Parts: sequence; structure tokens; C-alpha cells
Amino acid sequence: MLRHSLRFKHVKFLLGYTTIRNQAQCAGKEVLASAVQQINPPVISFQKPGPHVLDDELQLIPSQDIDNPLVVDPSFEAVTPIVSPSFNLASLVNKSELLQLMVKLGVSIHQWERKTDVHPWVMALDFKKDVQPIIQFLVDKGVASESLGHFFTKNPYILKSSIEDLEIRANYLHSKKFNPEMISRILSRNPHWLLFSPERIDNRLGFVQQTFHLTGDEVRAVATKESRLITSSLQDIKLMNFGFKEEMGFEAHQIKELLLAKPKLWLMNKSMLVDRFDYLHNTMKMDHETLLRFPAVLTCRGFRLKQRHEFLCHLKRAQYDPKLPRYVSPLQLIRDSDAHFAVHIARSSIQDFNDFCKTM
Amino acid sequence: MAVSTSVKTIREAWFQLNGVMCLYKPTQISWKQLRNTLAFNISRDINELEQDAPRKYVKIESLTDGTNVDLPAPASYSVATTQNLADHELVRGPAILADDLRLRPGNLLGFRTAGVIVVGLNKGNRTIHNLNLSRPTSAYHIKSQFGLATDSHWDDGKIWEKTTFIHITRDKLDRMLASIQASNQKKMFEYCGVDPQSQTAYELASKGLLRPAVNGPPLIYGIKCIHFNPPDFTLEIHCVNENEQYMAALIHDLGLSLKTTAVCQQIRCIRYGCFTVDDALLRKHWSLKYLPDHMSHCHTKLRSLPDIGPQLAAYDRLQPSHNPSTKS
Repeated sequence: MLRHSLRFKHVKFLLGYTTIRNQAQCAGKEVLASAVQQINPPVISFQKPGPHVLDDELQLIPSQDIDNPLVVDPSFEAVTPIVSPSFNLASLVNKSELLQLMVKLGVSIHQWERKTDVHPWVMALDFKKDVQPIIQFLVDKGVASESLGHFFTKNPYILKSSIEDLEIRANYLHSKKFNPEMISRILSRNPHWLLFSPERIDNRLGFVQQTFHLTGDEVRAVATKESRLITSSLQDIKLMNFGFKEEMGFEAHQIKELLLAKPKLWLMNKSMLVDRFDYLHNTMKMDHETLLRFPAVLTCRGFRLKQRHEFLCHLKRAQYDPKLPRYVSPLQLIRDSDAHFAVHIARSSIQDFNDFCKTM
Repeated sequence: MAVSTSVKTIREAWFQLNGVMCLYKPTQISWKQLRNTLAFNISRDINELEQDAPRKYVKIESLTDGTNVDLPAPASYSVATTQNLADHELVRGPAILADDLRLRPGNLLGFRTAGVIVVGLNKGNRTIHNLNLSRPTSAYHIKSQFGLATDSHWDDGKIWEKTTFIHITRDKLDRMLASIQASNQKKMFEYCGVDPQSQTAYELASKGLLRPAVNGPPLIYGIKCIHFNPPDFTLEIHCVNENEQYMAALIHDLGLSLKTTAVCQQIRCIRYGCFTVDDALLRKHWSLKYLPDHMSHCHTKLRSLPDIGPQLAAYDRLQPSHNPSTKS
């Protein structure tokens, strides 16, 4: 990890860190002073009368000494070492109970380090006070306890939000008639959902409903099936819609059908999807209806489609019309391993398939 | 030379992860993408092996209550040895990152070229360097088409013109290819810096294939047509120092000199040095499950080669005493 932090791209983070460190030192001093005051009030009361005894000229000195911990705590009893500055969270993990418990939960601390804004506040959290209610809340909402590690890895920022906010955000889903199974699926599939305020989520659900002319049940189905779609950029959804409508030539009702069947398509790279569609439609001669019946073909990787289709062409078996004999279903084309495909669909051998792939 | 199947831990695997591999590069992929895929696959697989045992962490704590002010210093301490959590995989991150792997190509294929690409991994890069010093020839199959001219010299480029190609026969094409080969043979001696009529040139040529001294301009050793069915035809080219643009331009110029036009459809490298398509690994096999055995296969193949050594950077400089300048 040190090797990781010392890369040039992390220089920015290191520079940012110096300011954090300075703050930490100030914060450490305050903590020290307050601790001493709680533990050892008589010492302070003994020092306090000082100014009355001393000369007028020296009156300034004791007030300067208030900052000095030696004055209030001569035996160093309450002094604990300030956490020394560090490049990463890994160096603090042996001392911090919070991080140790997070590791036990299965959180990847090293992924927090990539999000450079997590360091400053995460160490100040108290597990019992700040983290436990949130874990309790998530488990109550149906997030599986095994996936909590993944949840906090992806979204540490939820630890910063107050439990009231989270309750409000979950209650919003209840009010929109999402049932508990749906909520549990949404929250476990999309850790970032709870960062969005009810207004924003409402806005986004409304946008999806209006764009695709969905009924309430359909909106809930889409949000449950691919909850990341709701929290993704609305501009991207608009761009994808343009791609489906203008570039690929789907009708409005077909786009809606596609969304209900495979909302994942809206999260994909548009140019790659258009290329794939181009190959399916213009080379493999699949019409829009076929693609709507088998939307999974659009999620298959391009080279895989190409290899298999051209192999079938080579064997004169590329026949995608269900009314004719030797029909190959588009699902059969993309499913299963190459070995299974070569033997059972192409009626050839895996060796022949591999040799054919080496001529492409 | 490569990871044996008995290796269980990351540490053992890492120190054995050196070698040369021969992959089948698909078309429409740059070297950078290929490198990233390969490095990602290897690092992903290697991190699934057994981790090193974490270091020990010695914890010293005072047993007396820290709030007691009267005692001058705590009298007794507890010493506990625990597992160092900083070495935990979740804290430290993956042991091997994709960037830790040094991957270099032996023959740099272009974006649209498919075929055999030889890649060195970690210490295997030295072998790649030595291999490249001997200037191995590569063989290409180029599928092309008469009757079109495009801006990129590829069949999917913007079309400049369409021409007829009925007048082209196999015979005419072969004649043109032979003249290309002949003019390149003359260049062979030029690139070695010797006069073709000299004794030095004779001695060099008698030792085997004359290879250029430096990574310079492309040089064609053999070019022939292996499939002719106008408008489609396929050429087989044996060459060194080639690149994708050179090949595409060659097809374009070939078309022009035959009084028609031609574009590339596919460029496929079928051989680099001793590595052929049969050795090459397909994209689905680029993982730690197949690569170790493959690298040892490549290693034995390289070891069985005769030691050619660097070709004659300058023949006179290498052997000045034996060969006084005998240029005519």
C-alpha cells in the first residue's frame, strides 16, 4: 500500500493530508486539555490563583501557559500519545477499535483509501454511538449481514448521515408502496441509494415514470430490478434513450418493453451497445422483435457473439428463423461455455471452434 | 520458468512468474487494452492463492489504572502478541497489483491486426530482448479486395473510388508480387550496409538469412498470393520491421500498380520467429490456469532454437581483423 500511496497521482492526496494533519494536532490538543480538566480539577484550581500572587507585569504568562499541558498535568498521567500522522488507514488499524470491527465486518479499508475524502472524518467515529445504529437500521431493512462489508466498502459516507435521515429515506419508499422485499433488494443492490434525499429520489422516479410512460407498479418493478438506474445520471438515461430511439430505431413502446425486461442496458456504454446492435441487426439479420424477445443478446460481449456466429456461418448452421429446420435460438447462441456450444449447438468439437477462432 | 501447479502461495508464484508467452491477439484491440486485460487476469488469479502469514504485532499495555494520579508510573505491563491487522488483505489491499507485472510485446501488432503476439512477463522481457536482437521474421496473411480505394486503405474506410478488376489475372498479380520481392532483396544488402557485389556480402549471405542491422524500415523477404478469387485475394508476406500502416499501404500500392485499386479486409500475423498460431493462446485462456504451462512450453521452444545472436550490427565492426575492406 505504501507503494500505492507513493505513486505520483497520490501526491495530491499527500498535499491535502498536511492540512488534515495540522487540524489533527489542534484537535489533539483540545482533547488533551478537556480530558485533563475532567480528571484533575484540583490541579487547575491550584494554578488558577497564580495571577493574584504574581506581579502585574507577569500577569500575561499564566494565560499563555494554559495551552501548555505540563502546567495542568505535571505527572503526565492523562497524557496519551496523539495519533501520529499517517499516509493511510492501514497504519492505524492496530490501534483503532472502529477499524478493527470494520475489518471483522468485511469492509475493504484499502478501498476507502482510494476515496481520499474518507480519512478525515472516519477516524473520529465511535463504533457504539455512530456505527451500530446504522448497522441495526440496515439489518432491520433487510440487508444481509454478510453483505454489510460490501455495503460499507462501497459507501462509507452512510456512516456520516444521521439515523433520522435514513429513517425518512426508508419511510419514503414505504409511502410509495414498496414492500419490504423490494426495499431490502434495493438497499442491498445499491448501497448509494440512501445517500439521496427523498426529494431527489422522488424527482428521479418521476423522471423515469414520465420518460417511459410507466404505471406505478412498473416504476416499482424497474427500481427494484435495477436500483442503480434510479441513482445514475439522468443525462445518461436521456442519451441512452436517444441511442435506442434514433440510432437503433426502436419504437417508444418497444423501448418501454426493453426497459422492463433488461433495465441493465441503460447502464451500459452506449457506443458499445450500438456497435453490438449493429452487428446483430445488420450482420446477423435479427429484427427488432427478435431482440425484444431475447434482450439478453444485447448484453452478450461482442467478440463472443462474433466468434460464435461466424463459426455457425462457417458450418452453414447460422439459422435464426424458428420456422425453418435447424433453428438456433439467440439464447442458445450466447449461453453456456464454448465447449458446450461447440458440441451441442454447432455439432462440432471444441478443438475446431478454437482453431476457427484463430483465423478471425 | 513458470509457475508450476504445486505452487500454493502468492509469494512462491510471484518469484516464478517470469517467462515468454505467445498469445492470439484479437482484432479491434490495442496493445494497451491487451496488456491491461492480461495484467488484470494474472493479478486477479494470483491474489486468489494463499496469502503470506501476517506479521506479529506486540501490544504493551499498562495494567494499572491510568486515572490514578498518585502513582508516579504504572508498575506492571501486559505484553500480548496478536496478528498484525495491517497485513490483513482487507486493509492492505491485493498483494499483487496489475501494474506490478512488467509486460512487453515482442512484436507490436496494430489495433486492427489479429494474430500471434509474443509477450514477455517480468524477467521474460530479457528473453524477448534477445529474441528481438536476432530480428526474427514474421509471416502475415492479408485478406484483401480489388475494386475499392478508401482513405484508411481498409474496407470500412471512406470510399475514394471504385474501379474495375476484370483485367487482373493470377499471372499478372504474381508478376507484380515477384517484382516487389526482388526490389526488397536488393534492399536487404543496403540495410546491412554492404555492397551486394562485395566479398562481405557474399560471406554474410552464405551464413543464412540476411537480416537488417537495426529496427529500421520494413523489409519483405517473401510475398506470394495464396488465394485468388477476384475481387478477393489473400497474400502471404514474410517480413521484418513491418507495421500495420505499411501493410495497408502496400495493398493500396499493389492495387494501383495493377491498374486497379485494392483494400485490406484482414491482417493476421501467423508467425513470429518460432512462434506460430498453433502455440498461441486464445483470449479465453489468458489466465493463471493455462499461462504457466504455456510459458514453459514457449521456454522449451526458445531453448531449442540455434543461438543466432544479434545480427551483424555492422559486419566490419564486429570482425575488423578477419575482414579488411574488400569492397570492389
